[in-house]
Amino acid sequence: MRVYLRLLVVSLLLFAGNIVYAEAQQEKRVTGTVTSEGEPLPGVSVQLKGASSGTITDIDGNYSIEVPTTGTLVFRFVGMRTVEQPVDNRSVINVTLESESKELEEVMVVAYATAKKYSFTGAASTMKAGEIEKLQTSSVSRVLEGTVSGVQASAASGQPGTDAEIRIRGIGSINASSAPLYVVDGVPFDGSVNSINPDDISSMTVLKDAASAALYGSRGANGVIIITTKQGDQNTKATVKVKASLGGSNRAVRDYDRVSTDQYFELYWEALRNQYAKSADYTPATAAAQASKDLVTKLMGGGPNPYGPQYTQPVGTDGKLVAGARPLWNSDWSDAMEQQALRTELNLSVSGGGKANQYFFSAGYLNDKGIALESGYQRFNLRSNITSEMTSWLKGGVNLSFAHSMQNYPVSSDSKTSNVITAGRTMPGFYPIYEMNTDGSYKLDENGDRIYDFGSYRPSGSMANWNLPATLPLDKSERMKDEVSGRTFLEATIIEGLKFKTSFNFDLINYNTLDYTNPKLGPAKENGGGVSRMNTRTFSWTWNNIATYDKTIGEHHFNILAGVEAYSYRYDELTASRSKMAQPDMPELVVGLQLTGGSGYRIDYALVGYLTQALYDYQNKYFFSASYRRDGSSRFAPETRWGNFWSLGTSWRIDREEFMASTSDWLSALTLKMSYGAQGNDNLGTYYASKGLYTIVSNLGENALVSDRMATPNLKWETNLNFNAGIDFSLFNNRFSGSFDFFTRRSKDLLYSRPIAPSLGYGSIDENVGALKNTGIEMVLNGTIINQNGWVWKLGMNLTHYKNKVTDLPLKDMPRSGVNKLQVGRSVYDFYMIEWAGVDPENGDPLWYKDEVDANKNPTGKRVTTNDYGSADYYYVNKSSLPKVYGGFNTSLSWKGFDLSAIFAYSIGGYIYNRDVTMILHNGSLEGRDWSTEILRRWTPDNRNTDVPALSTTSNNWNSASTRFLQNNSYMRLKNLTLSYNLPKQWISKLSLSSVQVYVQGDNLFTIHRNQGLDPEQGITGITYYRYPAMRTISGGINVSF
Amino acid sequence: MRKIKIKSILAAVAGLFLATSCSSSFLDTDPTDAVSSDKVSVPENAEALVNGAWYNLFDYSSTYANIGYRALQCLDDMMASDIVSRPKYGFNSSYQFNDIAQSSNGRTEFAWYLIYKTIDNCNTAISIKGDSEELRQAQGQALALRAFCYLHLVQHYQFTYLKDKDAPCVPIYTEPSNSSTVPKGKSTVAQVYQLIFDDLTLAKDYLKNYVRSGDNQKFKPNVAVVDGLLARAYLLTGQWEEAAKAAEAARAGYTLMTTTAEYEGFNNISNKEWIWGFPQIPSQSDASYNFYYLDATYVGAYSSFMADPHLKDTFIEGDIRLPLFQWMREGYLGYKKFHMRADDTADLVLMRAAEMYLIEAEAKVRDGVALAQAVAPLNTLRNARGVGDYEVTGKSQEDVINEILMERRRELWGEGFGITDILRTQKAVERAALSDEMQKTEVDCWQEGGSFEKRNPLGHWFLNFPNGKPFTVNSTYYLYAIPQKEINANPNI
Repeated sequence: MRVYLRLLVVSLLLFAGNIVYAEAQQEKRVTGTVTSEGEPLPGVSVQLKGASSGTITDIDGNYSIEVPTTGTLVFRFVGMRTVEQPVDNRSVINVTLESESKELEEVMVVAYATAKKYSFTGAASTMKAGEIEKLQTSSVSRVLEGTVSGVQASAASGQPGTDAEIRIRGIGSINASSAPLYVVDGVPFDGSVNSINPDDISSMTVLKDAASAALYGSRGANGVIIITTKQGDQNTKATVKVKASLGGSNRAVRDYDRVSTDQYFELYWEALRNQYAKSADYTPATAAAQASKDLVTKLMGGGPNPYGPQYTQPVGTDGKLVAGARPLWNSDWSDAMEQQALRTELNLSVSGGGKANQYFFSAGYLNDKGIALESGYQRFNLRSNITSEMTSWLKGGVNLSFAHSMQNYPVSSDSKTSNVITAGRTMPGFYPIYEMNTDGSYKLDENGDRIYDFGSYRPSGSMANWNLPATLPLDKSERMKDEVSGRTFLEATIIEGLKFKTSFNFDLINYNTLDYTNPKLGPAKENGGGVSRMNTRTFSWTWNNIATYDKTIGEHHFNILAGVEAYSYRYDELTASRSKMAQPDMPELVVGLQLTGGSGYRIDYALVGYLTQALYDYQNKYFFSASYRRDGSSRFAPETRWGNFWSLGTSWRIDREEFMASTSDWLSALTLKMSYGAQGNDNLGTYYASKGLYTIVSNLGENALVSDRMATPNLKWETNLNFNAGIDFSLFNNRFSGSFDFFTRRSKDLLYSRPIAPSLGYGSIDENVGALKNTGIEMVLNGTIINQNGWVWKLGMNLTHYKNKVTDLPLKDMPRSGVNKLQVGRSVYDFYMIEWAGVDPENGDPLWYKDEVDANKNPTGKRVTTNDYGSADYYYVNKSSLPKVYGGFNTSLSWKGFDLSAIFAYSIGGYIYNRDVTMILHNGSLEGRDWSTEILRRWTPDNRNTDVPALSTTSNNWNSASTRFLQNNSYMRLKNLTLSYNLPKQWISKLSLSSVQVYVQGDNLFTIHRNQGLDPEQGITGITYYRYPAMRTISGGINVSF
Repeated sequence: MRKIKIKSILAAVAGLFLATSCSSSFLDTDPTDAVSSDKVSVPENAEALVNGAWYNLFDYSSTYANIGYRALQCLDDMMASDIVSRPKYGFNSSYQFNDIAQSSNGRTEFAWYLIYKTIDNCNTAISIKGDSEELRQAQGQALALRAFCYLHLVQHYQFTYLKDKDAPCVPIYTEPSNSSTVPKGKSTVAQVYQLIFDDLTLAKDYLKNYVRSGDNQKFKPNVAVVDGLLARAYLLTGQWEEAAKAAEAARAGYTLMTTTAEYEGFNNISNKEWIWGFPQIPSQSDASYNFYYLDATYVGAYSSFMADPHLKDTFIEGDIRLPLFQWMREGYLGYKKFHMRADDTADLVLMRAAEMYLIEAEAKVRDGVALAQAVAPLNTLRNARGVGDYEVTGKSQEDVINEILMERRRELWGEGFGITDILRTQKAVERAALSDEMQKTEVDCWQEGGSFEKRNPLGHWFLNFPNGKPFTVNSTYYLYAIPQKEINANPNI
């Protein structure tokens, strides 16, 4: 019966065609050019509608065809949308073909499966290879900044080879980890994200809600980032791609402006004068005279006078530099602490495949030098991805990758003296880098070389006995990593629709560090230097077995998934250190005469999960999903280790409804979606959370046991309850598209270290207490604004707003922790600080607020000011480090093979406590420490209304933590600007190349920010940590494929 | 046909895989560097637990200036009369009474947690059931260490016993804490002393057969250490006769140093005068870090413990300690008593014979023993230090006591007796600035690198309490505050 029906339809069609053909009487020659994105398109099939023969466009995109004047031409090309043009008596018909809108049918990689964007019940965003490749970053974690809604990414350290901090839809936990789960090629990834070559990635999907991520139940609470690597395409010939780029980096934002030597001497004179004048022993005149007399000695000690021996008092009693005095040298320590930062990247890949087997091989090399002396990152990547359809019912694949990286990582955070970032910032130029003769010429050694000045004469604020430009090249701080990652699977189709997949996967990371301080020069000279080595090995495997059954019955479509997953993680660490290096320049343990340390330990961690998911849709319009996963974690006691995680989701393709038929010419897709579910988090830092533990140490060669944590047998999973409601739309066949999402994330049973009375011998006990809530919205809009005459202009934006709120705490009055203090109703990162009350116009003292107290020492509710920092009180200042809005813009403009694109990231309304600048904002008490130019605004009798107090040489605590240094950290950064040119096909085809692209690009080219000197990309908690600033990188390169 | 067979096998295998539930042991993991608390309380672990308590007391740290008990000793001296702070990282705030008396200060939290964590570890050792000699000896040491901790607490968190023995002081814990332990309220000064005496008495009994195997075990309390602690406790509680007896017993077998060379450095556990101390080795040298503050001449260190020039004036010519004074750096007076060894370690002293002689002398004078007889222990010490006998003719009892206390300041400088002696004797901190005349002179100051520069001498520069008021007796500025964390989490305190 069915067969007959088909025959009938075919014969009807044939009949109709014949009629059309018969009616066409007059023939005409039509010529024209077919282009796409401004480029002539060769090989386009041009046919008369209904006819079986036709022609194809030549190399220049031209065609010529004889057709009836009343006919219709059909232009077809693989990957392009088919265009029909009625001839209408025209003799020239030029046609522009557009790429088939992929996004509409975009297939996203999601948990254990793939999904279509507009049918998916969950909230997820995808970045494709093209977008990722554009950003020249050494870590893919950094590409998410400003590009994906809901994702807060901040590269706290600009050091090459470090990862950005990622938070998806707010802060999910207080004590346990808030970092997302990375999944690479289907399974959780334990390697380092920065070891993945961004050019190997075909897509990154960020799973944001329960419906999308709950299948990763136990570890999906903070969102999931799925990275899928490239694979060869079916039935394609081998494609070779070569990429080479070369560039250089410098600071993305200028460092803090600092005072000159002349200014410094005058300012420090003032500090001394003010100090002496406080004493009754001095008159204003004698104080000034004493300051002039002491100035050089105070700053230079026994070192050389930068103004030369004839100016023993370079600053006169009027506080001004005396006539003729000028510094004989000005050492630029910042410059000495920086280096030429070259960036080289080379990538080669070959991909292709037949019907049954596909392959992707790649090799990559990256050498990304940092701007700070002796910092840099080198990486070698190899990857081999192969899939094979061995029989009609059995398929298998192996993805193997190897990465070797070497990071030179001098200290670039923390307030340590050895911090390469602060070392240059805090040293004034009048301390010479090389030893000076009194006349300002360099002292030379017997070989005629300059001699580094370690400045034992320097006062406390200026790194006496240190000279990092001298010692850093001799010291070492290497971080070497070798990572092997394997993803293997076999998939059998048992009956149609029923598939069984078993997949074994592993990550092996071998990490070696070598830290060496040389015994020849610098602070370690006294104790002979030292070396320490650490070796860690991480091996984890995931084995999962998944059965899926896909069935369509009429208008009902079912997809059922069920499986088990086992995960095992083992970490081994070995450390050893020795000091007193017997040979110079030999950073090896055996060279050290004295053993100072040797230790090691192992961590075992395991998870077992049972998972199932059911998807159902009716008429391709109504979609439903449900998932359930039961996970057991070795972190918890047997009684509490099993947790249940689940999700429910639904979506509705409104545009497919019959009542929407009238809008089908412009509304390409409209989806409403909603989901709810629970995910878990067991990552509270310790791997043995149920047990009470006594740490084993050695006390003078005898065994010692020290209490470490209290037993907490009742501890269980932290749970995240996520609600998501969203709308996705696409207009004019995806020319414009967008989405809005509303979400709430409630975290309960937070894994929290509840502070207990320290007199119990423990600082805290781990408990499931407290709750958090993140509520927010996300918006994404993309559009092609112009698409005519070869010009294509695209514009996209995304924004996220969320509010983080603590909803339950174990104590009413939580202890203050640094500049934060948890309180119900406030965010996790609300600042709780001493509040700055300005500078006393009368005397230049710094002022802070404190509570006024009555006779019984009870606060009256009023606030008064105090100049004693120690007696100031702490207040909530209603500011948080979390931005009110963050996101990004992107735009691209292309014309005839030229393409100019830009990506901006922005963050508005977050605050930061800037500790970096306080290092160079002492009141004169840190003699020899450099000064920010802000100090020029100091209080003087002539400048009474200011926010910088008077100078003196005893500390007044003004640069201690207070809201004085709490700064609005809103910013916008041009993350990337790329100008590329695709050489015309007709040129390169003569060389048998299929595409050649040359480009120049810049990362972090400019930044709009509010605080001079402060790189706005800092940690999410909102406290600077003397970190490595972001780099501006400019490079040029070429991509060739054939 | 064949295909179908393979497929059915496959289906079976698949079913098997899916149904596989991992054996439960897969999820049972154990750490390799820690012992579970349910397995810790056995006699074999007693010694390791005492070692752990000790390790915690000296090696637990919260910052580079809060490393173990030695940091508290540094702090106690900085708050008193004889150290001038060279303003550097670390203890400059203590010199200005700007840390430990504030309940929310980091140092206050450190000091409290350090001691109570040590007490809890001692309690675990003491709670072990059994009666072997090895267990008894380990428990004797745990009791002595616990008594040492409570003696520290009772001296620092309330005024002295002789002022008000019924004043509330600190909580007492004698059992190991677990998740259901309720934090305790304050016991009185007298109750804390009662526990100290009980612990020491029991410790003395448990340790009666214990003999150390060498100087490298000088950190382990023995009977002499227990006697020394009893001597301190008796002196603090006004039990003069017992104090003198215990001090005499403690120092038995220890002789005094007689040369400058022996005195210099103060970093050697084998020092014949040391009764109790903590040897340091390069692989366990965190506690030695405190010497970067104490060591006056270490190049590149903080070297913040300088001497009050007025103290130097009380030394008599011929004293073996006198050559250790040296003007240095910006004009401060260094006292080169403490010196880091070349391998960046320095053994720590906790109790030595000189202190016992001084306790004995003070206790006897206070007990009313004839002055000429009572000062004999003082004179033994003076003679060893190269100065003659103290002449008691014409001196009142108070004069002699003051002289003994002054000798304590000279002898125990930098060893952590500063503020506790002031609290014990209910005196005020004494700090006087250098005279204008003195300030205008120039002295040859040693510089790092070995050269000398002319500088004006520097002395005390913080002469009043932070509130501007003069130093007084029994001021809360001298006491440690109970940390805010304790107040927040302990409703009973």
